[in-house]
Amino acid sequence: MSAAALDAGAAAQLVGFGLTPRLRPAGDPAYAELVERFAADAAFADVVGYVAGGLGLAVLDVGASGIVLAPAPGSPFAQRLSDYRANLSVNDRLLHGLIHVGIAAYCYPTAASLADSDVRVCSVAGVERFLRDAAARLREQHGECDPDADAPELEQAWRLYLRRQAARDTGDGRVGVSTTTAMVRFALERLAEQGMLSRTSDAEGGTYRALHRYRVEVRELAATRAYGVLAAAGTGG
Amino acid sequence: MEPRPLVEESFTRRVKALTRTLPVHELDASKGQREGDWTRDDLRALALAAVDAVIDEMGLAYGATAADVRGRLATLVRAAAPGGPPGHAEQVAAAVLDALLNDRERREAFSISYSDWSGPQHRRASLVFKLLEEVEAPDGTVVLRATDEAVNLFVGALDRDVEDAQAAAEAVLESQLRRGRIDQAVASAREARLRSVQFAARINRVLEATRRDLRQVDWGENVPRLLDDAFTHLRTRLDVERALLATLRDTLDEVADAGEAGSAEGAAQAAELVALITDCQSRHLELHERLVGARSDFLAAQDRQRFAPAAQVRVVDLSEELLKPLLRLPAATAEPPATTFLVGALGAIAPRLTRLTELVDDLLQPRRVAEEIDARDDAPDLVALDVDPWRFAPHAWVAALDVLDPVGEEPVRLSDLLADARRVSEDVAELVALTALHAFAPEGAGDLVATDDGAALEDEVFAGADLWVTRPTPLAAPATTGALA
Repeated sequence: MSAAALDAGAAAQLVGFGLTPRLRPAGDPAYAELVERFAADAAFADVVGYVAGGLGLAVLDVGASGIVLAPAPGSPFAQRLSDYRANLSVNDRLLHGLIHVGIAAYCYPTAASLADSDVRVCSVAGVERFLRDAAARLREQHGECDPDADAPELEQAWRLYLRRQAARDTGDGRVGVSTTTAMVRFALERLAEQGMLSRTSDAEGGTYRALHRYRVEVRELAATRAYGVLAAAGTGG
Repeated sequence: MEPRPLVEESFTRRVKALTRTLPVHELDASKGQREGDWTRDDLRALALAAVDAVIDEMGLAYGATAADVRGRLATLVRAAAPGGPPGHAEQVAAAVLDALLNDRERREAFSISYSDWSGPQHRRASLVFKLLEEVEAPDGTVVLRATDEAVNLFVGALDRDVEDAQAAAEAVLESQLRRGRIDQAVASAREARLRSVQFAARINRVLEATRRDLRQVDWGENVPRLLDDAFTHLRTRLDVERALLATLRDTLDEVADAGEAGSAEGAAQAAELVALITDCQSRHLELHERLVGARSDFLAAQDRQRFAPAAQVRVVDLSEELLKPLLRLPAATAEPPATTFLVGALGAIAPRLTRLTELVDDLLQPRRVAEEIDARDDAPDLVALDVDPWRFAPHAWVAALDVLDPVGEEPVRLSDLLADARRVSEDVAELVALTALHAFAPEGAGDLVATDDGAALEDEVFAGADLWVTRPTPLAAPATTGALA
């Protein structure tokens, strides 16, 4: 077999490791070897880039915590909203999206902290409070005036967030699934499944560490793309 | 004539050093607000003990974890106040670590203002610093690291910079050895080792940052200079320490020969010192190896990162540039950027393939009762199509739109449209059929209208009416939020 074919196989294996998000090089000698090879062998790193590119993935980072991949828009490897949570209305989709922006903004309060390399922490209660406070500050600025009944689609996002309850007693000790607390918890759990966060305790409704991988995805991918879409939409609010 | 500054240069340095102790004092002052009786807990001393515990493990294995440090602090708390209420020691330990990490401010750097008279005019300046931070170790564990500021605070070298302090520490050590002051020499050697750790951490950070992202590191000027300085520094240190070890071994021999009272203690201290210096030396050697590899690391990073996604000009400020603008926008406008963020934050996801056995199991599951219906959220802004948009490839959509495009005011039979579509593929035919059905629905949102005149559709795949499909000239009607558009 040709060396090129072997390289392609090894590169595909490395990309495959990247799609097993909670696996770390320290936990798998083959993974660790490929990460080292990526750092040492520029030709191999090229092959990895092309293999990933062919699958609609970009290599964001390769280091001690593994390979971090970014799906191109529309790639089969991108999270689909319908898989994240089925049958969402526009308002629900917005709230789920806002909560993800809120988690990231909570973990990385400034642009400088996004470029840093330390581990940050967040919790279900902390993120919920953070978003509610941000929305409440906007209410203070705009006053209590009611939204226009003839144009419900013009209702601002902060009103929607405040209208939604933080928690609700369902009678059996659970919080309602559509409360913001439940949505934050859902988001944090999904991020933990993706190896972006790791759960450290049950304090504050669930406390998590934000790992390197999360910072890279937020900085290199999510924030940039979302900002691009936002800028294209025009900030007529 | 140049006006003389109001204060000497070292004054500002000392003010800054003093300012950096503020978080520790604030921690101690917060005792009164804690639940329970904290009066016997010396939180200042515990904070220093925490930094001590972190520095002890830095550079060795991966470092101390938060749990390690909390455990050590809890032991100290219990020793100071035996018989405290259960869980108290752990609470105190956690509070100390939280304060050093600045958990209250989501682990941002401390930012404290101080008076600066060093310029032509007095100004209020802010000192931005961290004491401890958590970092990921290569094995995935998360360990604590003390910043340069914390090391300075801890060793009390408040008015020096890293390299000078190290040189000074070693000069002191040498003179102490010559005068036989071994106990002081042990203390100085500890300080010298801390300096070594601190220096290593600085170099490691640059190398780590380089591997992660070349753009964040100034390899044009600052880093090469830092590496050169480090090389020179290390060469001198290794020489000095070799000389120190030789001196020490002589001292040990002298102490043994003298055989005077208290010499057993002196010998033990000298032996401890030898171990310390040896440790210092091995840390320097380790750093030396990293430095030798640094340039090739840089070249490899350069090669690799050339193919990385296009360099981002600027990092987005999440709170100011995304969260706040999004909260201000109407829901429909804010939704696309917000969900774009969601999709991006979750990264690459391996598509789940359905296995037949799992599918059968799933289908045989009793129907789940919907967990809860939210009566408050009842605004169906967009009517979801009964078509999974992902089921059809983009080219099928394009082909289907091509088939439907010629439809104008003259009605066309669905059967004719299906025949056209089948020339492309069955998927396209299905899309055309579904679109026609959608147009037939009274709330149909697209620009097509379908009517049923009772004619049956004769088709191998589809059953129902052979609809007439037309595209009426649009009236001056308000644009609908078309689901098919």
